Amino acid sequence: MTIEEELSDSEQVILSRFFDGECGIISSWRAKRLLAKNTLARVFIQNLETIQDAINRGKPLTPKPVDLWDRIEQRIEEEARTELYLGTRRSLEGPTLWGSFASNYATWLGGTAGAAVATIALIIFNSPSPESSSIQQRPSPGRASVVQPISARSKPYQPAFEIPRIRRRIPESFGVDWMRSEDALHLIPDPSGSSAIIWITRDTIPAQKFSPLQKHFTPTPRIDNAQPTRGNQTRATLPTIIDK
Amino acid sequence: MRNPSSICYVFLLVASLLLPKSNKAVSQSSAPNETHIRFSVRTIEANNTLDPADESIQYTVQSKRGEATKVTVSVDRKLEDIRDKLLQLPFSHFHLVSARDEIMLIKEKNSLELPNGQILFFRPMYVKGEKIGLWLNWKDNTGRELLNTRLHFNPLDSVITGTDCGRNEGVVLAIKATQIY
Repeated sequence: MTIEEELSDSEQVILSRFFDGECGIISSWRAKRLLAKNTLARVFIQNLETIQDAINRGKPLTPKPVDLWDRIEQRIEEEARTELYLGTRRSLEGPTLWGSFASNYATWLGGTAGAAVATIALIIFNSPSPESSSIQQRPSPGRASVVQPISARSKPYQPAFEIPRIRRRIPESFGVDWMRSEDALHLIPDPSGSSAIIWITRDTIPAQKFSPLQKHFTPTPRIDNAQPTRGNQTRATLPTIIDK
Repeated sequence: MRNPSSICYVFLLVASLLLPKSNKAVSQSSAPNETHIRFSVRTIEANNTLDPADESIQYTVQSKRGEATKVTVSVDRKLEDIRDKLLQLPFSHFHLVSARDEIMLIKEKNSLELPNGQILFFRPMYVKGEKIGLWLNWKDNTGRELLNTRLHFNPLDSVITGTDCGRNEGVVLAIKATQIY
């Protein structure tokens, strides 16, 4: 029977901690008591000392330089093992100061403060602005009233620096929230850069002529042999004015 | 509702809904009724035929591919303001068929029957500075939805939309919406 089998696990743990200097007051007292009473405990400690001496003797003075790639590979393997047991690593949001604060008694206080802020914001947004005042004073057609500016001295907001603007094909003044059609839609940029042309290319073109009351055009042969494109082929042959 | 803050939130939400409306809310509810919009729709017939006797102004345009595709485009004199836009379309003749103006209130839905029997539903959403919001729904004679969109554009500018309506023929709509002061 070995020493480890004679000593219980808790006794071995206590002795190990005592040997490493990790015991508290009670554990130290128990370890010293055990060493005083039990011979096997003393042998156990001696064995630990022997092992430590052997380790200290074999330990190099300077640490062996570790290859960076070995460390990376080791780290990858660790991550793979961790992922196997714990799943994919996710960035968890640690408990913030506000979170810990709000999780306790401050929840009620925080909720009240948030509601108060929301109420203040509601009141501020509902407060009349010069723009809304001008809308109020805007006369309807037919009324003989005069529109006057609210404040002639008020100046429009001007930024302190020039904001560089990137010229886009579809200008910012032209916006579309949504656009749908049962046919194909195409946006053709406006040459003036202020708008866009929405062209709908129909899959099947029904015969929808204008009413006979409208002017009727007699088809005449084209001046040249050019065959203009239609529908979504427009972009390939956009014309440019060369003569008026 | 275990959390007292939830109760507080609900209470304040109800209170905010029951609060009397401020001046801006009143102005918003009354301003749309006073904001009038002039909604103009020009229906343009576009095709690839050219009448030499036509009084419309003719432009000689050149394709970016070269001289070989030099064509003459005829644009109605009444469409001079949108000439550059029309020249982007693959037609050589543009003729104004009809021009309709509707004065309407903002957020008011209206419809307009085009000369070819198609129907255009529209609703001006807002006018703010140099921008106007407009909902458009263009349907053909069979009720097929050609275009359903909500646009924001400059009231000084015309929105051009169009579709094919035959072999080498198209119908183009020039839509403009301006606020009436």
